[in-house]
Amino acid sequence: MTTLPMTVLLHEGPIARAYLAALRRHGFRPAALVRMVARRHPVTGRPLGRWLPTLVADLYAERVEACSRHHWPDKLRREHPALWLAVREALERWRSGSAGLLDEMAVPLNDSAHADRVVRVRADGPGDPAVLPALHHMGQPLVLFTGGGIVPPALLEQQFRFLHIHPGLLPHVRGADGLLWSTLLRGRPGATAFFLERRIDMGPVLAAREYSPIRVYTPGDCLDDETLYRALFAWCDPVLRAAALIDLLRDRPGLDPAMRTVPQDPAAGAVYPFMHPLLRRAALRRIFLS
Amino acid sequence: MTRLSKLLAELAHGGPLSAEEARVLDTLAWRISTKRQLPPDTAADSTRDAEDAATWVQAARALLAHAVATDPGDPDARGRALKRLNAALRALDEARARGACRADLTALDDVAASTLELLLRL
Repeated sequence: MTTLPMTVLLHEGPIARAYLAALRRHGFRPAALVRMVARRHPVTGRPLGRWLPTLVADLYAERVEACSRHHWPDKLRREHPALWLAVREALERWRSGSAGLLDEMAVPLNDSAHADRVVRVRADGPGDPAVLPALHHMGQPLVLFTGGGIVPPALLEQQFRFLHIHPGLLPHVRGADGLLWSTLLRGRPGATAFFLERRIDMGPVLAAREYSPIRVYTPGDCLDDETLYRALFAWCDPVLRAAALIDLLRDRPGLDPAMRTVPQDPAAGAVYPFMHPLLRRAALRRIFLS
Repeated sequence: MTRLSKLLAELAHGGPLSAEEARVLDTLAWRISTKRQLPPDTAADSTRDAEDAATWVQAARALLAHAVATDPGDPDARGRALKRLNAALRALDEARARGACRADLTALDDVAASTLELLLRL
């Protein structure tokens, strides 16, 4: 195992599971892990375990949060097993080892198995006051940000550099629904490893690449766009990001915050919003083929 | 005619846009796509304006008039056109929710569908 000099900042969720499973499967181990456990329910916003003793409240919150963030992957696997198998096969064809990665993503996260040092903090996002001391405590200047909120400017101004994987080729495809916009505009998915800065998806780039198209041959039953969209974000998007992370580590084995980067041209490309259902359908039809 | 309506009517012409017009149109597109709102600075002279179905139809018409890729071979150019189309579709949804004229909606739906087909074929 190669220990990576970085802290992984995560919420339980498909992307975090994909990163940690991929790192483990490729012989990497982050030096530290800061796991944010939500104070409030990710969907309803209600406080989690407010009336329980702290230890029990933390365990309760952790469990509820994991169930909430994995609601769609679990539900889709349960209710659409043929779709799950089709995506699994497609991603394995797309990148060898993805089927095993997806299987591992289906199992609840055992964070202590993935890093030497693990700290859990009750936090609803990276802007929570509990996060900064935890990152300082870990002492790693490089932080892998796995999503789950916006990193606030106050945190970006600290001595840390936040590594993020964006599912789109920067600077061309910034913003939301990156995998769908990439598919529609460029005919293939892309992913970019870059350091976060104040402006969204504008930070200096470590590695940007495009991949072969993902083609999922869906089973005969007629699946609605919402189901396919959920499947895309439950499985395809996290696997794409994990692949880009592993590619970065292969290209840059000496991972450190002072790595050479390429600044982005702010005038190039565009920041894309969430897709309207009509455009989304067109993009989904290019990934999910009957 | 309010300032916003006047602006949208000006933007609805099919000819090339000046840099400033393109900027205004793209701001409009972003605001509609992300917040389902018309820009407050241009709507300030009439709060009802932003809620009015006819204004949303005008916004959709202005966006559709410029959902055209200047260089079809360039994915970024197509992306800019698709972003405007994306916003136009959202504007049509808002107009529909506010009870816009059916004839207007049908006509613009047809334009949106053919624009999408064209942009995807390029």
